[in-house]
Formats: sequence, C-alpha cells, structure tokens
Amino acid sequence: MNTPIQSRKDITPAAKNTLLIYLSTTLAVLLLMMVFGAVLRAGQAQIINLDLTLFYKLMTLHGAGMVGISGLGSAAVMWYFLSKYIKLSTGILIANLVFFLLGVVLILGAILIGDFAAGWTFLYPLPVKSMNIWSIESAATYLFGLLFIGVGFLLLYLDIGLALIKSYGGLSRSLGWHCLFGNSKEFPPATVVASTMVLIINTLGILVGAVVLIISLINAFYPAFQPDALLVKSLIFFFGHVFINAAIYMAVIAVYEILPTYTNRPWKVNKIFLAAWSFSTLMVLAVVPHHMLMDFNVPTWLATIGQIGSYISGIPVLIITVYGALTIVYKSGIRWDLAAGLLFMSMYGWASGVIPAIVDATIHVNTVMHNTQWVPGHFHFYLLLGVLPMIFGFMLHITKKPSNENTMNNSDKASLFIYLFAGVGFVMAFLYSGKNSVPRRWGVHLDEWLATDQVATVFAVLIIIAFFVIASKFFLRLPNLLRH
Amino acid sequence: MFSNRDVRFYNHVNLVLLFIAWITICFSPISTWLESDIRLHMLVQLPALVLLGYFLCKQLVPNWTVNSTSKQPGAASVVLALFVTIYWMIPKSLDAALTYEIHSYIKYLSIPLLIGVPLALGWHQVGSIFRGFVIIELIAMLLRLGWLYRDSPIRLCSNYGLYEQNSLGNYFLIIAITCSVYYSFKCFYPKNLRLTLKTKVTSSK
Repeated sequence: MNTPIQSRKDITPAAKNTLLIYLSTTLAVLLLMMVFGAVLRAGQAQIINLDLTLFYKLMTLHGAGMVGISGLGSAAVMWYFLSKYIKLSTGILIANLVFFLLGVVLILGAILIGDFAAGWTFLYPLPVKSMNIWSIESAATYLFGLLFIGVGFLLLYLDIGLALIKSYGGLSRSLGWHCLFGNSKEFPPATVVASTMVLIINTLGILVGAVVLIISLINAFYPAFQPDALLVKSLIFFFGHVFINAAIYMAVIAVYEILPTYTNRPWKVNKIFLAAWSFSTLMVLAVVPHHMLMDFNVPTWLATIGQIGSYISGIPVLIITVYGALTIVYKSGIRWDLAAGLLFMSMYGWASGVIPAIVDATIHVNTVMHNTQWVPGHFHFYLLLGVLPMIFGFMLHITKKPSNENTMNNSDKASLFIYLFAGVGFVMAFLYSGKNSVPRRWGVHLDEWLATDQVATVFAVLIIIAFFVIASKFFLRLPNLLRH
Repeated sequence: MFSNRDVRFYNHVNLVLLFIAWITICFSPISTWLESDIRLHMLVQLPALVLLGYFLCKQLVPNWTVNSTSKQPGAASVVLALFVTIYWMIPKSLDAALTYEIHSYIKYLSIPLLIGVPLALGWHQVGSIFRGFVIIELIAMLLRLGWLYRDSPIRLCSNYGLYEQNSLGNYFLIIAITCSVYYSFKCFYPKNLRLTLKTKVTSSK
C-alpha cells in the first residue's frame, strides 16, 4: 500500500521529492527557531545569562525565520493539493526552494556573522543607524536575503496564476465569481478558491516588499535620500501582514482537503463559501491600517477602517472553515489519528488566536497594548496552534500508509496533548504579560515579570519536546519515501 | 486587398518613416526640446527610442523565429534589453548623455538597438512566467523610481531642476498604478479584455 504522496500519479517524482525537501527544511528550520525562541524566553526569565546583542540577533532571526518558514511549509501544502486541479511547474517549485535557501543563507550570514539585529521588521532608519553594532553591508545582506525569498515566491505565484488563468479562464472564475454573481453551478474547488485569494494578496504583498526593500537599500548606500519613515514602516507592515496571512490561508487548504478523507464527507463549496473568500481577499488588504494605529499622523478615518476591518476581516473565512470542519466531523464516525487530531486542533488555534488580535485592533486598546507582549501572544496563538498544526497534519497525512483503521497510539496522544497544553500555556503567558503591560522586544525584564517568563520558558521546552516527537514520525518515514 | 507589390511598397515607406523619426528624435530641434525637461526626456524620448527600435526590427524581420524549441535565445535577448534599460535608468547615465556628445550618440544607438530590437526579437519567445516577472519588476521599478525622484532632496540629474524631478516621480507613480490596474484586470478577465479589444478593432474597421 502506498502513502498518499506516493499514490499521486499526476505529479512527477521530482516534484514529490521537492515537496518532501520543502517539508524537511520546514521542520529543521522550525526546530532551530523554536530553540532560539525558548532561549529568548529563558534569557528574559534570567534562567540563562543572555548577552543583549545576541538576544536581539536571535530575536531578528526568530522573527524572520518563523515567518519565512511558515510561508515555505504552507506553500508546500498549497502546491501539493492545487496540482490536483491545475498543471504546475516542478521547475518553478524547485526554483522557489533554491531562492528561499539562498535567502536563508544571506539572512543567517547577516545576523550570525554580520551581527545584524534590527528585528525582522528592518524599520528605517534602524538598519543604517546601528551605533556600530553591525555594518551597512550586514544590513544590505539581510535585505537582499529577504529579496531573494520574495523573488522565489513571486515565481511560484506567477506559475500558479498562469495555470489558474489557463484552466479557469481568469482569476474571477477561479474565485468563483461566475457562480457568486451569476447562475453557473460550476463551483471551483475550495483549494482553487483559497489559492486564488493567496495568489492575489501575496503577489501584491511581495510587490510592495520588493519596493520597500530596494528603497531601504538605496537609503543604505545613498544616505542623502531619506524616505518618509512612517511610509516605509507602513509598507513593511503591509508586506509582512499579507505574507503571514497568506501563510495561514495556504495552510488551511490542508483542512479542506484532508479532513473530508477521514469523515467521508465532501467539503462542499457554495455561494457563502465563495462570498467569504472574496470578502476576505479584499479585507486582508484593507485592514493593514491596524498596524499603524499608534502612528501620530494616521487620519481617523483610516484608523477606523483598520479597526472595523479587523473585526470583520478574517471572520467570514474563519466561520465557514471552522463551522465546516465541525459539521463534517460531527457524528461522522471519524477514526482519529495524529494528523486528523492536529488538523482539528488547528481550527481551535486559528479561531482563538484571532480573538486577542481583534482586541488589539481596537484603537483605544491598541494605544495601551500594542507595544506589550499581548501582540506576540496573539500571533503565537494562531501560528503555533493554528498554522503549524495544519502543516504537521498535512505532512503526517501524505506520508502515512493507509490502513483500515486510523489509530492514535500513546505517543501520538501524548505529543498532541502536550503540544496543545504547552502551546496554550505559552501563549497565555504572553497574553497575561501583555495584560500587565510587560513591553515586548525587551531583552531585560524587571523582577516582577520574571515568574511569567519562567513559566513561558518551561512551556516552550515542552512544545519543543512535543514537536520533536511529531517531527520524528515524519523523518522516520522519509528514507522509505525517498527510496520509492 | 493589397497586392504583394503594395505591401512591399508600404513596408519601404514605413522603414523610411521610421528612419526619419529616428533622425528627428535624435538630431533636430525636437530633440533639444525633448531633452530640455527630464519628464519629456524620460517619459517621451527614451520610450520613443525603444518603440522605434522595436518597430524597426518588426519591419525588417517581421517573421523572425528561432528554429529551436528552447526559450533561451528569447531569454538572452530580453535579459540584454533589461541590462541596457538598467544602465539608462541610472541618473548619471542620463546626465552624461546631456553633457558629452559621444555619450548622447551611444544613447541614440543603444536604446533602439539594444533595448527595442532585442525586445522585438525575444519578448514573444520567452515563457509567460518570465514575461510576468519582468512586468511585475517593471512596475516595482517604476514605484521605486517614483518614490526616489519625489523624495530625493538633491537633484539626481544635475542638468534638471528639482521641481521637474519631483514631478517626474509623480508621473512614474501614476504609470505604475495604471499598469497595475491594467494587468490586474487582465488577470481577472483575460477573455473579456481580448473580446473588448477585438470588438473595438472590428467596429473601427
């Protein structure tokens, strides 16, 4: 009996191996970044004595690494399922990986060798005003690293966009507008709709990123040109906001495609589903002002759009996805295994992670909470307990030999439980600290804050242990798959 | 219907007209006028030289194809055009073309022959992904230049004033946004767009 990835006849062996390399890379980088994250919390907790320059270097690496690798893992999910419906290029899939790895090498070099430590956000003018901690060349290397990663993703989206236009006759049709606004009953598959949304938003995001990265580079080598700092910030956050949202929307395809195979109930696409995805396409782009609520010059109307938009932005897709997941699982007689459990858990992580995000998007709360640990609390919530379980569920599903009975052994149950328990504990520590106005991005914490930091560190270690068990299941299956 | 002789005649007329246009753009009072303002220089003269090279090539070798399934010759042409474009996007190059006569001749020759001609030969030979990438990069470059020309506190080209430079930045931004809207619409409704254009052409005939 073959595993799902081996059973696929419509993609080449090279594509299968590349996808496995995507997932292996994702797991390896995740492990490294999780360890760095735990070290950061241990440093704040004063469990270890962490040099402050090293703290900010690791913080930069952790931020850029986690966002980038979530994108790569999610792209593997999207590519694997989307290639069932449209013909995608294996060469471009490989090219994206190569550009990504080149970018990673540059970023690692800039941070670990060049001491770049301005945070993943590289907010102007910090990269060029380092007080001699890092050089202009280090900052430029970091920026080029991000640019390489963007180029790879852009190629991937161009390939996907072209294939969607060829197969469906335009993005309006692959978003299902002919069904939504017309009488057609030819609904595109959920994967196609989600991928179109991702393609639209992330191409825009990368375009903006490509502009602001080169502008930052121009400033680095031509200091007389001083761009508007708030405009630079806004564009960087547009790029980052869209990129990480796209990662979530790419990964959620795993839920649409895999859960139905466990419940034997299809994931039906209807007009509400299409309306929700089209609405979110627009709103993901429109809510960016919620990153600028603290900027003194943001007009009230724009801030209001940021607040109201945040309340309603992700909700439609979230509701139809979570509700859909609940309905196809309810009384389906599902036989749980680790992959199904992780995918189901991801619905909880995504849905719950949105709540503190919405709280923070409220203008009056934001002015008090935005620079506290509340914010890492919310994004760790839906990344750690939402996106990552989607990717883990996907990788375990496609590498699992089918059997009549899906089973969950004790180690599976333990790892799932510990991951969930420690994950919730870890993000709650952030949220609780945020509630107490503990600032984020500080390497040195007051004594009053240390207890929460210490608890968070313990949870971080537990997450790494659970992650290690989950990842090892995949790596143990890998040699057989590659041989095949 | 035109006879083959008529077609040959009109081809020759087109070629002569293109050469006259080339001479006019480069060596006439019009050229001085076009180079008197950075906006006219960058938004009219340089694109006109590119188009001139493009149509000249199309006129001289209308059915040029590479006898190969490979996309490499097309890619090489487009990459050459891109590198030469990058060179002429550097403000210093523009300055040099205004200051040194030899450099102005290089401009008059290199833009049609090393941007326009390679694009005419290679653009339709390369894959759609390559073309899409170049278009997106072009839009990004227009946005960057627009920003740079708008916000730079000093004159990037010493031959032109700051006001014209800032104004050029605005034009770059407008062109970039227009291109983005056009290509977005094309991605959403590729058939409708083709249909609309065809209908217009047919009705105008």
